[in-house]
Amino acid sequence: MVTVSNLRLITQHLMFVVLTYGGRAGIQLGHALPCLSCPVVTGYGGHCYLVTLQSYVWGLQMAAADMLTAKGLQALYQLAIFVLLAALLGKLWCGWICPFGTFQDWVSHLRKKLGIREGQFSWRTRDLFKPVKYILLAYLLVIPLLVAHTGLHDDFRLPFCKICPAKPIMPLFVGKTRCLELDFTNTITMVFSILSVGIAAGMLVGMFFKERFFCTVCPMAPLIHFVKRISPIRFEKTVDGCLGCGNCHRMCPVDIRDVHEQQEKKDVLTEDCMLCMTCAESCPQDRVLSLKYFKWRLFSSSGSYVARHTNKGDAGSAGND
Amino acid sequence: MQETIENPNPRVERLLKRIREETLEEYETGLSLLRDRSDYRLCYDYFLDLLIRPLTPEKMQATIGKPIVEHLCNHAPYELFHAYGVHPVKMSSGCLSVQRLSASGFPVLMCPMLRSTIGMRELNARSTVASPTSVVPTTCDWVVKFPEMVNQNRQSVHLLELPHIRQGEKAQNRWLEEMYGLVAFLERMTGKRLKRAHLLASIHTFSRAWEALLELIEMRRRRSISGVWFTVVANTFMLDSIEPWTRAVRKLIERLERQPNGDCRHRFHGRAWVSQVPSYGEGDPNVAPGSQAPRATKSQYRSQCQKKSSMYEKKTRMSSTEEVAPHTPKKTNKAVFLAGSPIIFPNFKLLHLVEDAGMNVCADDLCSSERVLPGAVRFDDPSWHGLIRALAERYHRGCTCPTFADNDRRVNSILHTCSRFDIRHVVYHVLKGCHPCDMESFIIEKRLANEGYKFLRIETDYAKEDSRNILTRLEAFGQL
Amino acid sequence: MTILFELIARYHQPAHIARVVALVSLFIGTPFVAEAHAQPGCPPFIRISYGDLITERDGSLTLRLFIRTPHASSVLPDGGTNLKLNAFYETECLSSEGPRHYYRTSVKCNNGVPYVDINSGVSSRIELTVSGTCGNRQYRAQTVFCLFGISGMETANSMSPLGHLEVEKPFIHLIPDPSHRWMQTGETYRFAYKKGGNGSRVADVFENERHLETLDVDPAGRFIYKPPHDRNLDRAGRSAHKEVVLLIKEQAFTGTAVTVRNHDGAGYIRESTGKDEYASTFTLLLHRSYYGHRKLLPGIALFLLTATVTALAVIQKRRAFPW
Repeated sequence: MVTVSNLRLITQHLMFVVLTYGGRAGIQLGHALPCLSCPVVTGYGGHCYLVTLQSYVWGLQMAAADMLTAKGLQALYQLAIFVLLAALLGKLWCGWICPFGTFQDWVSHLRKKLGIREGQFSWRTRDLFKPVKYILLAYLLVIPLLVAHTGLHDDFRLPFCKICPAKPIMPLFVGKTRCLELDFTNTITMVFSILSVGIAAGMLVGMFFKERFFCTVCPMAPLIHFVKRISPIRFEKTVDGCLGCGNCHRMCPVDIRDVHEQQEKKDVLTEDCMLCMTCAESCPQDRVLSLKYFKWRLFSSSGSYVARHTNKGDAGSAGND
Repeated sequence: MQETIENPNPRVERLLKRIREETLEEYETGLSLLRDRSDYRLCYDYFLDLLIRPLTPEKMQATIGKPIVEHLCNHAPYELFHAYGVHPVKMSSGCLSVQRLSASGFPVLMCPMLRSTIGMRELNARSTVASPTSVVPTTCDWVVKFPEMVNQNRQSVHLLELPHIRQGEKAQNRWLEEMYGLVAFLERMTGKRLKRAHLLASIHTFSRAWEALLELIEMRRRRSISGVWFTVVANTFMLDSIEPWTRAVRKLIERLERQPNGDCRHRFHGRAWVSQVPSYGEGDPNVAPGSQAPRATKSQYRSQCQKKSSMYEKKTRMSSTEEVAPHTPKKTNKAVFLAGSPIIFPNFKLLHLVEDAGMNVCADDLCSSERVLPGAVRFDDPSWHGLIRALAERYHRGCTCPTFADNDRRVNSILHTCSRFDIRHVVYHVLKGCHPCDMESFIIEKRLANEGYKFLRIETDYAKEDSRNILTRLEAFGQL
Repeated sequence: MTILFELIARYHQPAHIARVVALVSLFIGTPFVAEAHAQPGCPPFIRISYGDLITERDGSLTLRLFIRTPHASSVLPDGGTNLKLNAFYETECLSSEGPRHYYRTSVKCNNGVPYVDINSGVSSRIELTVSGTCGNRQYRAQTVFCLFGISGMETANSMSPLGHLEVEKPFIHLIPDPSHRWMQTGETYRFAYKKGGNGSRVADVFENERHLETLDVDPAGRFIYKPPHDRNLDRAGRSAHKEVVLLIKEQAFTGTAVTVRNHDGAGYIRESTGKDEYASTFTLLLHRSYYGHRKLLPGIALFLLTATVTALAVIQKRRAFPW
C-alpha cells in the first residue's frame, strides 16, 4: 500500500545505496550534499557539504586576494550548489535521503523489533540539546579559520569530521575499518581519534535507545534551516484545527514539541524537523498538518488516513512490531 | 437502597417494579420513535437491540461473554481492558424514569446523567451479573463524588486521578502513572499479567473500530446518515463485543452506501416481519448466524408501534401532530454542530427537536457520540511502556472534555469542522447541573460569535416538559 | 631545435615523433658528449628541491622546483648555465584515463639558483626530469609529485606537448603506485634503476646533507626504499614534509661504445670514452605517515568499551524509571 512511510522507506534505501556505493557505478552527485554522506566511504556517490565547508569556509580561509581566484569561486560555487539543493528539497534531505539517518533508523528498528523501551528525555533535557548543533556549527566554522590564520596546528583541520560519528561507522558498509583505528601519530591526532571512536560508540548506543539521536545535534540541520526562507518546501499547520492530541509530539523521532504547541503561526518547520512526515501521518485532524511544495499540497493529515493506516503496519507504528 | 436490596421491603419492591416497567416503556418508546422514522432501515435493528441492553445486564453479559467492568467518562483506555480480557461498559444513563430511585439523598440540582446513572445502578442492583468493579476518572465534581454517593466498596472501585491540565509534561507523567495504577488494578482484578502482544492486538482491534466509526462520521458529514442514527450507533459502542460491533458498523456503511435512497423500512416476508440484516445477530447467541429471526406479524407490529407512539406522546406531552408515529423529520437542509453535555439514549429529545426545527446535526463533539472513542492510538515505540504511554496520551491529551483547565483548543475543533463542512449553526447542549459544560459554553459562545457563527445554548434536563419551548427556540434559531 | 621542430612538423605521427624525440631528447643541449670533459668545479650531483606552491587566479597550481647541488645552501656555478641544464616532465591525469603528455620546460635562474615552474590546472601526477652535464659528468635529477589544479587546463606551459619521450639512460624510475599521490614515511617505494653504464650496486640516501643509509641495488637495477617514520614530521601537521634524495653513481662503459641511430637520414653518434660518470638522483617529498601510527585493535577495544559503558549507564539510568 502506498503510504508516506512506505514511500519514505523506499527513498531512504535507494539513496543509501546511491550515496554509499554509487561511485562504483559512476554516480557522483557532487561535494555539496546537504546530508551526512561521508567521503571516507570508498566509492561514495556524493558527499556531505560539511566537509567542503570546513575546507573552504566559504572562502574566508583564504587571503582576501585569493577570494577572487578560481579557488575562491570554487568555494562560492559549492556554496551555491548547497543552497540550491537545500532549498529545493529542504529538510527532506534529512528525513528521506541522509544515509546516516537511514542507518539510525535501522538501529531504532532493531530496538523496536526487540520490544525495548525507547529512551525519553524530559522536556528540559530535550531543550538543552537545541543549542548543541549551533555550537557544533560554530566549531566547524571557526576552527578551520584559526588553522588558516592563527597558526593553529594543522591537525585541527576538518574539526567536525574528526568527531563525526558517521566517519567511523559509515565506512564499515564498504568493509573499511580504518576509521575505527586510534591514531598515535601525535597527541592531537590521538585525542581526536579517541574522541571519534568514543563519540561514535556513544552515539550508536544513543541511537539504539533514542530514535534519530544524532539528528538532535547534527549541525547540518541549522545549515539547511538557514535557506528555509527561499525554499519552496513548506510545512504548515492549520492552528485552528488542532485539538492538541499530542500525537505529533509523541510520534516525532526527534521529540519536537513546537508542532504541537504552535497556536499562532502556520509555519511549523523548525530546525530540528527532518520532514519525515510522521507527525502529519499521525494527526487525526483533517488538513491540520500539510506539506506543501510551492502552492501544491503534497500531503495533508486526515483522520481517515490515520484510521486506515494505523493498524495495517504501513504507517510507521503498529507495523513495526 | 443497599439495605433495601439485602432486606427486601415490599414497598420498595413495588416501587422498583413500577419503575422497571416505566423504564422499559421509556426505552421502548424511544426505540419505536426511532423505528417509526421515515429513514429507519432494518439494518439499524442491531443497534436498536443494543440500546436496550443496559436494562438486561444478564443478556449483555451472556452476549459479551467476558467479565464486565463499569466505567464513567472516556478516559480509561478501552484497549487496556480489552487486553486483560474484560469488557468495559459505560455506566452513563439517559433514562428519566430511573431518576426516581435517586431522587432522595442526593443534591436537588444534580447532573441528570449522574442521577440517572445512580438510578439505573439501583435498578440493576439485583442483577445476578451486577459488576462488582468500576473505574472512575475524576473528571467533574459529580463523577468524583459518584463512588461515595453510591457507597461503593473502595476495593471494587478504582479512581483515576485525572490531571486537569493536559498539555504540561508534569500532567502527562502523572497520567501515565495513573495508567500504570490502572494496569496494577486490572492485574489484581483478573489475576493476569498484561502481555505486549495482547495490548498490541487490542490496540489494532480498536483501531479497526475507529476506522469504521470514522467512516460513519464522514457519512454523517455528507448527510448520508442523520444525526439521530449516528448517535444511535455511537451510543451502542461497547454494549456488545467490539468485533461484532465493528462488523455491524461496516455492514451498515455498506448498506447505506449501496442504497443511499433505498427503502429499507419494513419488508414483509411470508407472514412475519424479518430483519434484512440477519447477520447482525452474530453478537446474539440466541440467533444463529445467517438465520432470519422472525419478529412480529404486521398487525402486531403496527399496534405495538401505535401503542408506543401514544405513550411517547403522553410522556412528552406534545400535542403537535408532527410527532405522532410514524415520526417523519422535516426536510433537513440546515447543518448544525452540536456541542456540550452528552446525549444518551433514551434521552434523544434534543436530537429530535433539532430535526423537528428543520435542522440536522452533522457534527458534534459529545463524549457520547463522535468522541465516544478518542481515535486510533498511534505509537512509535511498540514496547510495553511505549504502548501504555501512547494509550495514556491518546485518552488524555486528545480529549476535549470541558473539565480540563487548558481546553482552549476545543473550540478549534468546532471551528475547523464547521468551516470544512459549511456549518454555520452551533447548538450547545447543557444538562442542568453539568457545570463544566455550562461554564465552557460562555467561552465558546464568545469565540464563535467572533468568528461569525450562530450559537444557541439550550439548557435542559431529561424531562420532556420544556420540549415545546426548546422547539420554538430552535425554529427561530434555524431561521437565522 | 629547428631540426627537431621540422621533424615534428613533418612526421607528426606519434610513432615517428616518439622515435625522433627519443633520439634527440636530452641531448639537444649536449649533442657531442664525447667532446665533453670533467672539470674540477663540477658538483658531485644535482638534485631537485621543492619550492613554494602557488595557486593561480584561474585555479591552476604552480610548483617551483629548484635544482641544487648536494649542499642546500650552495648555488650552482654560473647559475647552472655551464651545466647545460634541460628539463622536461610528463603528466598523467589522475581523474581520467588519458594519454600521458610530455612537456619541455625552461630552466630559469634566480639568485644563482636554477629552477623550473610546473603548472597544472587539473589533478595530475607529474614526473620531472632535469639533466645536465659538466665535463665528463652527466647528471640526472628526478622527482614525482601530484598537483590538484582546478582550472581545467592541463598546463599553462606555453610549449606544445611533445610526443612520447623516453628518458635517456641512466635514470631512476619510481614504479608507480596509487599511494604515491601523497608520499609518506613508512611506505615502501620500489625503484628501478635503468643503468647508463656499468651499473651500480648501491644507492645512497641523503636528507639534506646527511647521509642516511645505503640501499642495495640488484643486478637488474631494482631496489626498495622504505623511509622510516620521523618524529618531527609526526609532530608537525599533515602537510609538513621533508625531502629525501636517492643517489646512484656509476661509471660509463669501460670500452668505447658507439651508438648509431639512424632516422630518416639523420644520424647521431654517441661515443663513450670510458671515463664518463653518471650521477642520478631522485627526490622524494615525504610527509608523515597517514596510517603508520594507526592501530585497529585499541580502536575496536575503545569502541566496544565505550559502547558497553554507555549502554550500562543508560540501563542504570532507566532502572530509576518509576514504572
